[in-house]
Amino acid sequence: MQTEWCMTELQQALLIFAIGAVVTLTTVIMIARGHARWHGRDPYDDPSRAASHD
Amino acid sequence: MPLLITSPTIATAIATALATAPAPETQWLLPANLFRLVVVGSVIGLTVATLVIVLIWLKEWRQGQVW
Amino acid sequence: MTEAPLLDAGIAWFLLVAFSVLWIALGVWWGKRGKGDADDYLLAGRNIGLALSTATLMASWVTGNTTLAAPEVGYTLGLWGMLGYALAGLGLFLFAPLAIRIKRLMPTARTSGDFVRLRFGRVCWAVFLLITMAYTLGFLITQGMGAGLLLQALSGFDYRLGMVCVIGVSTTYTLFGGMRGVVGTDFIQSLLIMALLVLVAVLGYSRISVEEVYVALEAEYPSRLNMLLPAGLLFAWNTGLFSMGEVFHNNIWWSRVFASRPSVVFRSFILGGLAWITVPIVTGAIALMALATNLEVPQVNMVFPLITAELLGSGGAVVVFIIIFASLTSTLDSLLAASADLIAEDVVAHWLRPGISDAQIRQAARLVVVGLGLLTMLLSWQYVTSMFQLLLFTGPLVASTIWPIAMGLYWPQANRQAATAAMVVGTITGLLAYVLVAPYCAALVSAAVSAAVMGLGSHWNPERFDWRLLAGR
Repeated sequence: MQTEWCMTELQQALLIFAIGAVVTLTTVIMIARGHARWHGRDPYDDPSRAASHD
Repeated sequence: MPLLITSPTIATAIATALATAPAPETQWLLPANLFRLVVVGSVIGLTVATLVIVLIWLKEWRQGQVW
Repeated sequence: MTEAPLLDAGIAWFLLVAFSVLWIALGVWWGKRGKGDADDYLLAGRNIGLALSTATLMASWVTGNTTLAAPEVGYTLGLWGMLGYALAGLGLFLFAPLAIRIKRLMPTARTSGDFVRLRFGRVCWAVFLLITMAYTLGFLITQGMGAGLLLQALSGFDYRLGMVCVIGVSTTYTLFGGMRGVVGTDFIQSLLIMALLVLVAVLGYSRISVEEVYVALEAEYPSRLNMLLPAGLLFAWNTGLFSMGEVFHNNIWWSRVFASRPSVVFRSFILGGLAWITVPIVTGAIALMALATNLEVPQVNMVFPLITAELLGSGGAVVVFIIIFASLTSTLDSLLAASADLIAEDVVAHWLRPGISDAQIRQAARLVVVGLGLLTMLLSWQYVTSMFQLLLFTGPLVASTIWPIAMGLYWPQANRQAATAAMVVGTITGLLAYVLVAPYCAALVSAAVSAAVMGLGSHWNPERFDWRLLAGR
């Protein structure tokens, strides 16, 4: 399927680079939040359950 | 030009992209000092990593904690 | 491949026999240590220290591709090739926090399949097993074919002879040594690879300085220094996401978590990642010397052996042989051991023959090691150029597992239907992107779509998972 693009090859590459950076950064943030959520806590003692009891 | 690469391997895909792409209008060449930093830094990093693993092994071996 | 081999056949035979005997002897010796139960065979007794843990991560992640494809992309794409390839270290770094969680949450588990089955149920587990089997088989075959081709190019060996030798040696010491043999040999192999790469880089750059290489590249090949090179920009994040998918899902890395002492798990992945990212940059920098010296490179994937032999003579060819032989065997042994664990534990013990004893699981793992070794030889018998493309095709498969695995470890809301859908839809869209847009986008599209499906599915229909269900096996 050949489609005419208005973007130059460099612009396309920069767009995909930026999307890749966003996906990677989002994944890093999710992991960092998850790690912080469980840091120093019993592995089975879920903070969300504790919060709902409070 | 559509971004369509269907060559059999990544090597040929990259080679095709390089061969068919016109010279990029915008270039940002890495300065010589940063290039030096990348090359020398990686070699120093690999040397340090090798030494660190050996030193950790020595320490663990003395304490009987290798396995 | 008609070019003259870089290494004299007699020297090549000596090196092949010497290192084969060494790895097998060490594997057998280490295999006799320990209690001899299934945990010992599959996970080296679950108590390995920081040095061995870090070194085995390094050795497993330095594959035949790292010593050949990384210099190749350094040669063709320059700095972006080297830095983009180095982004594959992200997988190891980001797995470090997950590894602690896995170790604390699942103290008796043995495989990544154990987690997926207990956390997301059997449907998701079946999808996961399909993905990981397809990936592992592709990975095994490319390493087997790489072994045959390399020994042929380096030493003039027949393709099949080299392929059978390398797979045969790895299979033999994995069979007798189990994970203990794999981890022990990985330690020596990783140190050999690292020390010899430093030697080649230092000797090489003492013949032609960094400044001379830069001046030559600036004058003749400026694209190699261009940080806005489109092909390089496309390459970068795809590698990072592919590596995350590989490390997050594959039992190679999960088995290292289970095999290591709890106190060293986090540090070993960080240290292993730090050590590993230097390798593609160093090998890429070595390949840049080929451009600077205008070395004729008839086959671009042979640039690393060619420039090393050119700069360091026959000694260089010996060093390359050792580096590549160590890279291939250390990856093959890890793949064989971890896949055998997965098949014995997940397919045999939890599916085909539930309730079998520990001794039978151990025996099943040994049979699977042999079976996988033979299957790899069989599938690598005929060299097919499109096999490397098959491995690239697996990028979307593994990238679709990133979010289901990570979210499933941290968030009780992570929903099992969403996890299954994320893997299936991520894989399909990633493969479509591979064919319709570009191979470089495949892992990226797969990761993005699977993240959206996993995140939204869990938000709309949150599960209330009881983490204690993961305490068993």
